[in-house]
Amino acid sequence: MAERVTYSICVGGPIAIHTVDGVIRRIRPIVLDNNDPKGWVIKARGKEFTPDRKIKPSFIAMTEKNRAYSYDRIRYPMIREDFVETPDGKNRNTENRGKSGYRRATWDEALGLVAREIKRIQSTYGKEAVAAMTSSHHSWGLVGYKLSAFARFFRMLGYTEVKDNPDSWEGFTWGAPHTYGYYWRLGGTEAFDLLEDALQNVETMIMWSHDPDTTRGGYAGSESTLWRQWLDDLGVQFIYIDPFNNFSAVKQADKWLAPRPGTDAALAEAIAYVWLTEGTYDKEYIEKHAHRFDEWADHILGKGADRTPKTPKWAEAETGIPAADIKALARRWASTKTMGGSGMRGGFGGVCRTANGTEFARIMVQLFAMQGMGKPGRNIWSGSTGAPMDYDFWFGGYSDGLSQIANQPIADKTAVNCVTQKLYRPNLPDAILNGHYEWYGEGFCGGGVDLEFTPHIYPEPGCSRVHMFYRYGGTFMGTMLDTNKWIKMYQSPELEFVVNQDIHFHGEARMADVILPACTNLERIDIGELCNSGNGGYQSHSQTGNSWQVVVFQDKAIEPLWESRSDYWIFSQLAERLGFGQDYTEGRTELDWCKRFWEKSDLCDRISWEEFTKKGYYVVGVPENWERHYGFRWFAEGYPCDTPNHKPFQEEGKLGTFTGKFEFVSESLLYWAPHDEARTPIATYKYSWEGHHSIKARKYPFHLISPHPRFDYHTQHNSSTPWFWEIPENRVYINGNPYLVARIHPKKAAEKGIKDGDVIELFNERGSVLCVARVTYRVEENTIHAYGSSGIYNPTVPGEPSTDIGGCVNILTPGRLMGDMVPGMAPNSTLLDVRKYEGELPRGQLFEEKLDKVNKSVDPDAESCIEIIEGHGFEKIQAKVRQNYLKKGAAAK
Amino acid sequence: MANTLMVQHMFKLNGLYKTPDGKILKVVCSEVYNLRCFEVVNGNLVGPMIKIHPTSELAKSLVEVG
Repeated sequence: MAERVTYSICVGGPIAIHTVDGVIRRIRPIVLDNNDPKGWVIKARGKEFTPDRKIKPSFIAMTEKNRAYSYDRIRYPMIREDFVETPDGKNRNTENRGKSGYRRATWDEALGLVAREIKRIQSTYGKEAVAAMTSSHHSWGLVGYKLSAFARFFRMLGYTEVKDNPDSWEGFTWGAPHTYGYYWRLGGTEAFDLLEDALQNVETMIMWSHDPDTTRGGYAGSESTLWRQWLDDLGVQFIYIDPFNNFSAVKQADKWLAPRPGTDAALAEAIAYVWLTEGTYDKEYIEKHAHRFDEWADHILGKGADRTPKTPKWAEAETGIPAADIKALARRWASTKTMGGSGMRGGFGGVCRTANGTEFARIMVQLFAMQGMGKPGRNIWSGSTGAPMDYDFWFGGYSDGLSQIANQPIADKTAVNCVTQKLYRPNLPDAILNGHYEWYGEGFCGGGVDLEFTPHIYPEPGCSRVHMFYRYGGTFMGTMLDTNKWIKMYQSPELEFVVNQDIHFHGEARMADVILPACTNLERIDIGELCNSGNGGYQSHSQTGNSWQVVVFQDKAIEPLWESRSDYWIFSQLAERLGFGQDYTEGRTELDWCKRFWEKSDLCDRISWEEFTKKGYYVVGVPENWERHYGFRWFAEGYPCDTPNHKPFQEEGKLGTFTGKFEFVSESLLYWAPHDEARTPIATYKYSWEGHHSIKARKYPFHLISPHPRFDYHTQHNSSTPWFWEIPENRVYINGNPYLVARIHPKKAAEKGIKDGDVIELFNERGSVLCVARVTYRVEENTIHAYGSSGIYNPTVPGEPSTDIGGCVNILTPGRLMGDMVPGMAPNSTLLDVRKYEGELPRGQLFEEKLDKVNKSVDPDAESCIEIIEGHGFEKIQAKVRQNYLKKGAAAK
Repeated sequence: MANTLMVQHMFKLNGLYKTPDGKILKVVCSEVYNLRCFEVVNGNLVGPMIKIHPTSELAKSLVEVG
């Protein structure tokens, strides 16, 4: 009955897990003890600021217990009931994917089938006929992460890689590098030591399309919430610009401005107009650091090709924000020390996921340049990164090539993919369904701005099309766009075989022929650092989003539930069956791999392996007089770059643009894409291809914005964590289904006869989704706000592109990319209409019976999904696990 | 401005350097006062991560070989 405490990290941050008798009792934050180092101290304006002695995960992390024992856990390997293993891959009832039920299989049967199909398909069509794809961050830990265990397996196998798009910050990747470089940070800026700079100097914060209490600095949990409170306490004014009066704004906005979605670039241009006409920008800085500024200024002042001055009045007509407010904003910004940004890390806000997102990103950078970016208190900084950090400590993050079991030095041998053919995630269904697809860009393009312009063709000349799809973790139904297309793709006979490896029975798992149950990271061993996305990968030093830098030994808290297994175990078993098991594992267990990360980093110099695994975590600490490297200060003051993650040209004091300066007319776009209409050499506000100027707006008058979710991380928590459904701002549980809350302005609601709490139907030509109306002044008049990334996808006719009751609003978003040469997606350029729904609501989520049937075939006493959600099934599961644990313990004795 | 000698001015990321005792090191991390290498043996990265202080004798003695 002894209580055991282990530690782990999930995407919501680090947690301590208390288990008793093999069952999770509770989850709490990690509280530091006296042996852990002191926190940093920032002195500012007569005060001292130091973080609390605990590491603050976000609230989603605190529900990991609910998620582990979730009603929709995939408990056993499963095979689609009407799947037929035909020798030629034909006549497999692929049209029934999503409709058919499943039968339980043994691991041997399921793995054997997957291995046979891989062999058959690759020997028939070629290595490239197998495509595989991971989700966005379905779990945390360097061994189990998608770039490790998954990548090692598929690179050794040889496969068609599906390249990710930067779906969280499209406009910044495809736009900002053409103004100030930083392509190696995917368009994001550097925020080193800017927390101290802000506390000491800033007077105004511009939070543009930014809800830091919701987006939580990425993976940093709630570590930065306190910092923004400090700024508030110092009297810093916060101006929030967002069509939705978001959760951070409600708490601390001194002023909320609500532009019509997709018109932010017009607002930005009008701010520049005020500064240009009133002479309130940093002329000396611009003189020294800007390229072709005068031509750009001519455009703003109406002397350019369109002969339209970008006056506040002009912007008022576009944005709906009164001209007087625009002027006041511009004057406040120019007359006070102002920092700000769009979204976490300065550039991740929903505004850059619009058709006009690249242009907004570029103009926003230009605005900060006009006010002397890099000078004290003047910078792109959005209050969720830039804490002091020990730069002299090196431990790898997930996107760091040095920190993946696919590569040396962690592995003895690097796994290399022998297939060069690629696919591109946003348009994967188009490629599979049409058998042909062309696009530009290398996915994230962190290696160089030129990579944005590399042309790709599928199938690659001489290569086969893809005939097998292996989907690993999470669901894209709620994160990619126009996702009814994904249903059509899955049902295509082109895909002769579909595998899904996941923890929960999410939208895409239900489309597979074989489902392999993975366990959560509470049920396996791993190692990872909080919020470290790669000290050499993209967004280097993202740990500056934390107050505490901590590496965690992610010990196994409980045994894998039911017959689920770790991802590493699954890939090892498959590799064994395919003849490269020994090469895959190199004879290592997961614990052995964890130790490799310890011994191949600075961690081994700081703490012994025994001590580390015993204590469970290591807090790095910051030297008392740490050396400051303020982001962009080097450029503002004209000395060689002294911030981490530098590039050679920065050593000469230059930015990563062609000219080394802020480019107000982009030379890189003039060189590579001079005729691109979506992303012109001078960044300008452009009408959205799906916006209020579109003809379509007559039929579908509302804009949908579907920002990164508050009650989810990508698709991970909301869907499998019914505890969240009790939060009225999140979901409303009716008839066994958690309906998503969609927000609508009272004026428009009245016009539509909609009352608060009504079930409403959001619809356009791409589909329809039932939600529950929240009638609120918190949303701009023409806007419907409903969080995106819903992991819940519950079509009323399973396996058909039908009305969804799960709040999967991404079936309404356009699949169209930002531009012909801009391969970003634009979910916040969606038009739709809304009406009160008065039809009958179905009972439940319309998939549970498939799981219940399999579970009860193994254990007739198994609790049903609905019992777990509504009744005592949760306790019943825990009681059974406890019983088995004690039985095993007694047997062992 | 930082007053520490910045190693990025001295070493190329992913560059190979020879030590006085004949070892070949590959620079895998080159940031602000943060130079990290692994020894290369038969084309493979082996052993623990080697941290070289930018002002050390070892740093001064490294010779670029590719």
